[in-house]
Amino acid sequence: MKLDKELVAASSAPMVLAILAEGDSYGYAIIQRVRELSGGKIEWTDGMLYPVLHWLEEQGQIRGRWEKAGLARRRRYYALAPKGRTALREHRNQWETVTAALNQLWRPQHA
Amino acid sequence: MHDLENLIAEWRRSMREKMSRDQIAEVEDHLRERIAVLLRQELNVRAAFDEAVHEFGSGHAVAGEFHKLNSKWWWPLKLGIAFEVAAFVCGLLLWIRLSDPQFGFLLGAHVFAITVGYMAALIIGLLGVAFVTQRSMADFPEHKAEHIAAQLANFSIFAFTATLIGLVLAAAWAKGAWGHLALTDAKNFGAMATLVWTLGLVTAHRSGAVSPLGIIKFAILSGIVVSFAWLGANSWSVGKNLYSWPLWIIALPHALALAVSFAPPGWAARHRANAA
Repeated sequence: MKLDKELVAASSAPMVLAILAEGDSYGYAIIQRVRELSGGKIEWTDGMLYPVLHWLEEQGQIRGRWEKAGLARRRRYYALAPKGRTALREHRNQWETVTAALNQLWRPQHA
Repeated sequence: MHDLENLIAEWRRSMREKMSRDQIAEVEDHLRERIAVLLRQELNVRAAFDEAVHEFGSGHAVAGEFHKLNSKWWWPLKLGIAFEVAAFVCGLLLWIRLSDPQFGFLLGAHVFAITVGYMAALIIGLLGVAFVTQRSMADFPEHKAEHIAAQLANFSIFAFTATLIGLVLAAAWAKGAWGHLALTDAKNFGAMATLVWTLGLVTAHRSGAVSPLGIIKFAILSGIVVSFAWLGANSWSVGKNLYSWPLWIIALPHALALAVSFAPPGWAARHRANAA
């Protein structure tokens, strides 16, 4: 089963924020973490993560910094900013409200 | 590995038009990491590279997404354009006022062009000051710095063109009114310094050898150069056509902003948070 594009897009920001709440990370590692968490069911096109990261950075929800990765490479790490922590709480409340409502509807007596 | 470096270099070249340097560096790191994983799965270099690029998705689509982020206008830039429009209107009024038999058409046209050109150069400096201030108060996204540097280069082209037209008109007017060019006039040197500086900024940006923050520092210095060009002769009472306006009112905030631009991003916010 693959998730709908719309659902993947809607969950991308809370997913990134929640992963960064575990600790600083970078693009490739974030994608791997999403695959691991979803058992491969959430399939992001790798390239679409970066505009999301830059958008979150512009919103002040995450902070980016360059670090050396190897001899001649640079890697951009991201960290959750205080504004992102607040946004993550808000996302979490919203998603919990939606899943709670759907869970009630999908109990056996409603089926 | 040599093949991989060639493939990556070729990919980097193909992306140069679509993405900024930092965006390319970030994506390149992603590709290299994915390729390393694929190589461990026994794929050859070419196949691993093609697979990593395929998984990454269309560079054109990703660049389009980045472009959407960058296309939002930075509010100081909107303010700068409003000031430039105001300078254009004021310049026109001065042109009308000075285009009388006593001063002639050329002097009015010179005042108009030089006002518009100097104002553009001054706005470049003020935008640099605005950037440094914002960057001190909060972490400013780096991709924004790149976009702003490109806008400053565009402003510089405009400032250079208007100042050059103003300088040529001044020379033509001086030849007619005084019978000789005012080459040694302090204001003439100021206009030439502004020309050199604005052209320097555009060249530095186009060369790609100067970082976006470097271009912004360049822009702040342009504010200092134009404040000397516009008001320096008045402050030291040298040259012709003096009007009083203190040079330091413009030059000092720029010099301060230039010093601040060497501090790390968000330093003022962190200092405030530590103090609280």
